[in-house]
Amino acid sequence: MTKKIKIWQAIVCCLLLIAIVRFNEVLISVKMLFIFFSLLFSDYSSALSLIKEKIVDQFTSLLILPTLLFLILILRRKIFWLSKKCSGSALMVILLILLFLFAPLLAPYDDNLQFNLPQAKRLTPFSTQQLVEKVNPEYGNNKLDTFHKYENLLFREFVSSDYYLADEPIENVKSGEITSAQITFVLGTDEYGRDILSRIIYATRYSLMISFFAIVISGILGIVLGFVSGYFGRYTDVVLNRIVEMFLAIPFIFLVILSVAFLGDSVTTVIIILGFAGWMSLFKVVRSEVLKLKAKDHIVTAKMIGMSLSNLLTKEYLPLLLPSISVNLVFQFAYILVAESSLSFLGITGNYSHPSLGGMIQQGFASLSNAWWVALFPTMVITWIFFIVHNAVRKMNGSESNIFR
Amino acid sequence: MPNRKLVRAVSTFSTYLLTIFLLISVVFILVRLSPGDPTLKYLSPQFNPQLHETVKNNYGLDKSVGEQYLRFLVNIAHGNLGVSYTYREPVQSIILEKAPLTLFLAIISFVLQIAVSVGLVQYLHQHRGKWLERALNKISLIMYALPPMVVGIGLIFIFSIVLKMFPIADVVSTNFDQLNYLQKTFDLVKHFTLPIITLSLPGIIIYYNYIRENVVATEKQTFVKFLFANGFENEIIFKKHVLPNSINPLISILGTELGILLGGAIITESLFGLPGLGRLTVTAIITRDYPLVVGCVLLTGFFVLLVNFIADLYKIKRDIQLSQSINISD
Repeated sequence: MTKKIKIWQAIVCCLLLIAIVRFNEVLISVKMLFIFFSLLFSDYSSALSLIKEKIVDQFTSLLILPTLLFLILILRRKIFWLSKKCSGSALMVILLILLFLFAPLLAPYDDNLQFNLPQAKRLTPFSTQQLVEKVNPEYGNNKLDTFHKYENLLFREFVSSDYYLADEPIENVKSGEITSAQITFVLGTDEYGRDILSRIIYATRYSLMISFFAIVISGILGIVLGFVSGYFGRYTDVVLNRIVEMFLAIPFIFLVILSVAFLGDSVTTVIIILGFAGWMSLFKVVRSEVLKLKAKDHIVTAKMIGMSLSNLLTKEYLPLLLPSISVNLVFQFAYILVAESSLSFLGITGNYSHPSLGGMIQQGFASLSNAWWVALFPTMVITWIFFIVHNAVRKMNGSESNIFR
Repeated sequence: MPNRKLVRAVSTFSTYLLTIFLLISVVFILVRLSPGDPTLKYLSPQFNPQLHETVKNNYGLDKSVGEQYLRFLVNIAHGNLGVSYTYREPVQSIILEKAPLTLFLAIISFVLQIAVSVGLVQYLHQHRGKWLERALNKISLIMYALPPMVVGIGLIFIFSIVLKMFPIADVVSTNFDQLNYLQKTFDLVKHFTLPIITLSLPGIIIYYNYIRENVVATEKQTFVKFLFANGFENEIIFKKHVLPNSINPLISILGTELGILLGGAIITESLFGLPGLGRLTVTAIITRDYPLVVGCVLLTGFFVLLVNFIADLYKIKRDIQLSQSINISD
């Protein structure tokens, strides 16, 4: 039964599922987007002042949702891998990518929202609490106020007398002013009363983003330098090879630790350092492949015609190099993800504005004896991503190869 | 030709010398790139500028970058790595105090990795195709995906917190001095079991898979079929011919593996609260103790390079033996 589902069907199902499960949030965001656009025409300056990182984030994932849906429905026959059969590992990859794209829609609360501690400290998974919410009468009826009202609904960053948890439902509810609803913390809360599910969704996305950009950097470095080394040969080849061998002799993690210690631990620095630390294996792969391809007829012909160097790389070499490059990059992706989470686990990096998986594990490790769930779920996510990557590489290779760089 | 070995050894040695030079240069560049005035660690900017100048002069910071680089090289060549900010002691003495524990952990788990993985392959070869082998292969595929951090946390949770079999942290118990020799040994073993398992488990799985694949590949070669056709017993063929051929490639990754182990020691020591080199590095970074960070990284780098060099020498010896034996047979 599962074998008959195709990849585009799986993606469409997941997208619809997101839209249905998080319907409330999607609806509010649509309203916000509508108000924002109408404000953009009537009151230009105040609309621009509304733009924040979180709102941009929310709007992007909201806009991606229908766009992706329609694109896939339209292109399902044109892109060949969309109509392939969906295996278990493909489904995992799809879920991971969707988690990355729609994190703001999927997360029930803000990642740094602390509920009131007496009620929300270290709640076990699936524990329920009463959420008391006061419908604010202070907001007026004009567009700006409505926008702020919805914004407050979606991105609450702290609890107040209008919004808090209680043990029991409030009995004397005045109609329209105070509402109380039962909410469930599916993965529990941590010691500061933050919802772990929301934190994990944002942390996964953040860790994936860091590894992705690092991969882009090391990919560009590895491909360009490997191509230069393999194509020109002679002295450049010797010099670059020596340098790479020297870098490979120094353990990866020490290079990163050293750089982080001296250059600081902001996100951009960490991305650049991880990217610069991981290009060596790709360099070796690209160089050896280019050396093999150099004597092939079609490439010699392309050179004779007078193709420029960049054209030669992008149009002749890259399509042939793609399989080995992608395998290497996917491996490197997992490697960098684990390196990043190890670093933030050790407390060397991880002072970001968002949670990261390693930081969450560190926090959970400190309270492992009283609250096992805080550490369990982030570790499960890391293992899950690592497993997906290994599965994907095994599929690409046909069999597993050795992973010694 | 006796000189060929020497020539290759010398050329390898010069490469490693260059690598050390590069490592030191990278460290120097990073130190220079780091933002902030290093003299501010020793005195407040409210003091008079004269004192500031004196400190700068004492540390050689008023000289040109090239001169500073030369001084850095000379100092490292003399084994002088500076004074730690937090400990107020020479860096080299602090590191030498902490290094034995990390080395002990790394060597024990390295031996364990090789021994257990080879033993597993050998044992499971007799049970090929049975449920035990298939189950272990499946488990090893899943365990392949586990980072050491996850393994450590899992072990601590299961064995220290739920089952209370092993202590959570530290090298020895608090009442270590009052125990007799037997109890002391038992106490140490108890404290080191989980860290060593954490450090060696990922390697065991990788080696197991690697050797198994090599065994499968070797068994397809013609000489094995030839031996089998000659009527040798399966057991003897496996032990004397297939296994040695499969293990040999492992030597080339010995240096890399040691680097991975020393990197893994950082996480293991932090998890189990062991006062080794890895934990020293982490605390040095968190407390911004730059001389100590440089010392730790340089020492670990040198050590890994040394092991790599020894592995390379062994490879040269083997290669030349191989080529000589081929020449004789021709």
